[in-house]
Amino acid sequence: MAGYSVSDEAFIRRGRGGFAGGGGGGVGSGSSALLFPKNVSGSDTGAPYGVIEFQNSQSSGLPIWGASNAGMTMIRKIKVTSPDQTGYYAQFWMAQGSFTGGNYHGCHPYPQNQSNSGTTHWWEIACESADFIDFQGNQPGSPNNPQVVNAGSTLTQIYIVTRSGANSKTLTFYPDASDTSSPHFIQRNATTAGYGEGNPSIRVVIGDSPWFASFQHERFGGTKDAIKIFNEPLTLSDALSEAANFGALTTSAGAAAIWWGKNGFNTVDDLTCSYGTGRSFTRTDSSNVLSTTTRL
Amino acid sequence: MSEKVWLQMPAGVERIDCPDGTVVYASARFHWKIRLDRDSVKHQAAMAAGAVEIEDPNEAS
Repeated sequence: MAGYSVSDEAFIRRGRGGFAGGGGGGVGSGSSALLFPKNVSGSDTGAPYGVIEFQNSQSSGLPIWGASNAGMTMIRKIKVTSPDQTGYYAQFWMAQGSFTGGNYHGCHPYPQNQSNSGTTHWWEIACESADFIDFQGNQPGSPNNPQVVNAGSTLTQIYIVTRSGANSKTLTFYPDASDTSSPHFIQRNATTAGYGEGNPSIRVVIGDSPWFASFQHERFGGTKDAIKIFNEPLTLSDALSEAANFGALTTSAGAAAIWWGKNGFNTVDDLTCSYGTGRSFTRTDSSNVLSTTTRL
Repeated sequence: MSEKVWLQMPAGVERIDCPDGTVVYASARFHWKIRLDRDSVKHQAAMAAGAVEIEDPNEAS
């Protein structure tokens, strides 16, 4: 597979992901990873809020179901801080600023005891006012081979969302890209009529849940080393290729659909795309709870 | 369009299969609070399962 350098602006400029602001060339790699704090407690709502986010992504190339209404892809290299935090996690949301019961999806660890007192977790897909925790799309009350979160392990993860119609979306989360065989993934065939339809206002949020004040903090509780977000659904083969090298866009599909990504972070505010799209996330972190740490 | 209302589901009821084949989901993450169309089959099924109408949790915070 040919590699496309992150500095090859001429190639990337042709991509569907496009440029938000004219963009400079790729930045190669950052020297650090981002460290997100743990929950203070499982039920806490008073601690500071610290996230990186991109608001109104639907107006900048990334609607909830992707640029072509066909889906999207997120690939990341992370580590959950050991031991697990107490309660819920929020490590990637496409969501609204308050909880409406709809118009959101994401992938995170989920407490095995279904409570904000939980200290052991499974990997989950969250959408449709529910949580799905295995390859059959079962909910936490009836799991079949759920994938256990091993805090302290560095993982490259793949999240592919496809949309085939207003009442048919498939969300698939591979929590460890080194083994994508059944049952080592989580999959939800979302058939709730009209779920997320109508191009709602969306923000991409990494680090907590924006509705924490109404429920509880759901912090990232870990390290984010690298990420690629594509505004089209990649094939698993292409996603695996992209996951194997954050220093480049390794597939033509990936180069055409890159929306935003980072290959390391030089500072907590180094949030401009490493792959030359020109887009930048914003740090919402008035108490400076985010920090940098050694790359994974 | 029917009015959307918030319901408090009984704790632990994570799904209700409705007579029309649709499903009502709820989650501990959201404290078993859900939002449905008041005149819908889902609303009827949730109420039959013991749900009660509540204020918008986003307003209550």
